[in-house]
Amino acid sequence: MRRLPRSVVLAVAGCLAVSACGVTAQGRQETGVRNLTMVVGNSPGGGYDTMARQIADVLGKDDIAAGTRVVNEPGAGGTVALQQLVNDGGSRAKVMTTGVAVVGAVVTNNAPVSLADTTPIARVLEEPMIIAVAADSPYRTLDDLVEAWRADPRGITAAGGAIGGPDYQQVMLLAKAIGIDPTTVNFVTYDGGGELLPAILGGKVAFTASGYAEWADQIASGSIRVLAVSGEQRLSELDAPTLREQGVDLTYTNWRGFVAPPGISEDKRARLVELFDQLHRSPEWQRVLERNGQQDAFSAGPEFEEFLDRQQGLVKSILADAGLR
Amino acid sequence: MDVWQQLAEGFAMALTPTNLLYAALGVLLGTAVGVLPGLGTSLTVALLLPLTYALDPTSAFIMFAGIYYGGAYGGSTTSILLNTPGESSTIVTAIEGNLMAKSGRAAQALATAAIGSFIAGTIGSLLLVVLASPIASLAIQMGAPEYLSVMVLAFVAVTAVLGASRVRGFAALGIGLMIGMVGLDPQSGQQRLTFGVPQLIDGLDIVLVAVAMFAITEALWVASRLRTAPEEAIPVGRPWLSGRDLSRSWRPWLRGTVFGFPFGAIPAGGAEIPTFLSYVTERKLSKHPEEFGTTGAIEGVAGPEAANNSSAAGSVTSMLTLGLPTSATTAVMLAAFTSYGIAPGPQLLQSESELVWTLIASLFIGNALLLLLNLPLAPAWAKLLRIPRPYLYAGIVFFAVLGAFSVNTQAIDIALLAVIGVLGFVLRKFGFPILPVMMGVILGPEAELQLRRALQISDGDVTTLVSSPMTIGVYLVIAVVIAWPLLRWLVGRVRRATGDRPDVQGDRRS
Amino acid sequence: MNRARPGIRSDLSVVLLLVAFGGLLVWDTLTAPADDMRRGPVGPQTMPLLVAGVLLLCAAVLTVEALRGRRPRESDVDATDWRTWTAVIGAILLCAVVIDVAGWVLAGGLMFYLCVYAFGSRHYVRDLVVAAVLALGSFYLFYSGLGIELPAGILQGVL
Repeated sequence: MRRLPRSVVLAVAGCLAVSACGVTAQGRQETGVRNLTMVVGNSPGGGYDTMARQIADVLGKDDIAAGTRVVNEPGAGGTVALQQLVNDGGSRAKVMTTGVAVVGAVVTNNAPVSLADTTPIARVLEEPMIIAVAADSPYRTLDDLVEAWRADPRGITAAGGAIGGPDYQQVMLLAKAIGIDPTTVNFVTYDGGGELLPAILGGKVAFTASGYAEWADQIASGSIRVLAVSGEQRLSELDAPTLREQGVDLTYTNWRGFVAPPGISEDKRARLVELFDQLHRSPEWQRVLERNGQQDAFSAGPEFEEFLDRQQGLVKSILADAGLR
Repeated sequence: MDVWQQLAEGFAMALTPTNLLYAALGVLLGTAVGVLPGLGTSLTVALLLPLTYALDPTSAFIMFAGIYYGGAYGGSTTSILLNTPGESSTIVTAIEGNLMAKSGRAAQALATAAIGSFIAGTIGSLLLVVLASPIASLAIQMGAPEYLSVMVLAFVAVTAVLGASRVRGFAALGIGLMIGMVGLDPQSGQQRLTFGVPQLIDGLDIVLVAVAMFAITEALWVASRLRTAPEEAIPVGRPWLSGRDLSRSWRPWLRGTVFGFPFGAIPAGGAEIPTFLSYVTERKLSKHPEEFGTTGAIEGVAGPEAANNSSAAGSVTSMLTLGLPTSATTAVMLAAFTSYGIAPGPQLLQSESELVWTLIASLFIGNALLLLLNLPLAPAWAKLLRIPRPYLYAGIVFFAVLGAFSVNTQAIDIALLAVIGVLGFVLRKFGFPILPVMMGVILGPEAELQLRRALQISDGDVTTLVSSPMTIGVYLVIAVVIAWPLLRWLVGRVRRATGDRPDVQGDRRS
Repeated sequence: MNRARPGIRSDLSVVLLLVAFGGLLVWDTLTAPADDMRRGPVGPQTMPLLVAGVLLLCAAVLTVEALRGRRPRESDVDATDWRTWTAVIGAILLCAVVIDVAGWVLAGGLMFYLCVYAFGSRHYVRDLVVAAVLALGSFYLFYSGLGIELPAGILQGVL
């Protein structure tokens, strides 16, 4: 394999560090999954990218899988990467990060492919969502907000990330749960926290639905107040009641997981599932999750498949309710 | 506590050999990445993030700050030499800078960029020390209507540089606005001009458009004249700045600094708009307007280069004082703070005062390192232009394609580079100015976003746009700017009409 | 107006370009789905239509100017070397087409080689060496410096 071309290459590129060569060569480990490619459909530095890199790190450290690479294929909230994954022959070990945002983007963007075209592997984590306002907001409790919102559905502005994303879904589900027509909801999108934070603090928008980790620092410093958390239970690090406790019949969490190209063999699939199962049992991974303010939510096999199916239906119905599609 | 004393302590911390090494490493890496079109500083910091977990936070942030400032330097080098902006903040630099390079003044352009960046970066870092809290409150008070008013002001400024033919200038602006419109409309989630291509949903990257419009267009232009025009040797000028260059540069440096800092500090500001405003201002104020667009005016390099560096300083200010990421790079740096278990935000100055002051001190050091690195290198860089024509232009194309491709590793980005390059060629062939196109690409989406967001928040009430003292003030300034030449024109017309014979070409009044 | 003035054809092709762009914007806007989330007078269709208006208006003014024979001095060189032009743009497009299969090193190197040739160099061996150094150098620089793996294509496993 490495006969003539490599020597020519080295002769021509003599100025290059020798140690850098052979970077794409196949590994030699005999057992388990090796040289797994994790495709991230988002730019480096984002939530999905961080998760993939942290997982790759743990997989290596705990000897679960050697040579895991993270490849970013950003575009349209993961739609571009999904399309490429679906067209992938599945010859090499490859998984793609997925989650609420990807499901949302695929539906919102009217993509010709969907997650139903992939091989579901596993869900790995859940992230609690919060309903939050500025510390000096007139809405002291969820009840205050709900009351004001019901009185003037168009006048109360909700803020969050992209249309169709987890923040958006949370707001629409909350509106529906308290009897507000989602089409009247005034949802303002902000790209990242840079403009959203001052908009909240300056009182330009009424409230935001967001992941807890994003605002953990502001919550700790007291500049942002959490009216409710959206999961089944309260968060250990946060003194805020759930939606249910406050009489709103709704639980909602953001999740993340992995899918593989369609048509891979049962054996391959089983090995990938096994890999994430081992990750799930790794104490190192549990520490990473805790540091990130995320929760382990391992699920695989038919269970995850059904879950993924339900998720896609949910997103479609939310967007349809809001009059988007 | 005395800020200066704290700053001195910060210097003491930052000036350890290890930290100096990381600062040097950072500025070198930043320069390298800045040179490459497409690959931005934010991406670099994001990619290096995992590597820094082994470092202690102070060293890591010193390195990140070096990358941030170095990126702006590197970007301007390729803008000037190769007409290939490496960063969106150095797009404007390419306009006059490359013209200067072609008339043998590359070393001067590089030097004024380096010194201007140093001065702006240093003043910006000083402003950071002094102005941290007022800036913080300004950022919170400004909302979508205020941002919009500033964008409108920028648009009015654009009309000053539409070129010889107003109609062509407006058409070019329109084409730029159209290019900027490609992609997902964020407020409605609706796709515009994407033709069902998922890679277009995120819109066209500004740097890709700029590189296509400048570098690829230039290469095609040279190609189209290869056999008809003789190879013009680029004259090699003097290697250093003359006293005259300095006296023409220092005011633009200071004005650029003033433009850059506040824009960097506010969330919707960024580095692009102040560089444009600085360019337009310098073009208006210059005593050598004939050099703009022909042989290259040094003011048009000095101002924007100062503006982009002081914008970076402003951006760091907001990050440290508010925990507010006002640029992509500071957003990633904030994520890094969090991963070190440091809570950014108003308390940071108290809770991590040592880290913060070391970081601020390292900004000064990074700037000084960059000046030391770049000023002596300017004449050497300028020699790059002596590369034989085939290698120079093939190299520019290679470089542009590499930059466009490396960001997303999507083949379609290369195709887009080619298509927009052809568009740029056609526009140039037919005498359209390129600058308004770029302004449309950059300002258009931002202005529309703020307008739509303002109306969304007010539930469609248009009066929200003029509901604060700041918006009213800015619109008054705009009214004066528009009315002034109109008034002068009218007065001149009346004078001519009464004094001389009626204008022959004048319109027939009934 | 039967006898065209010199240059009027190029002026009218500018008009055509602007009309095409304006028309494209109008078509794209009119075929877009209705927007139910719109607040106030400005929706996702407003700006495209406004810009289309600007482009079409400019086209109209330019037509009038062209027919009146008023045209600004511009730098059009009449003899355009389309062969070289086509070779350069062709090299870039070729790179875009083959990169997914061939990988960056081969596609990028080939593009550089073709461009150098198009721009007039005839040092075939030296050019090949320069192309190889640039392509390989950028590949490894990205990999070792930034951890970005540019696609290796058919050289996967070799590089």
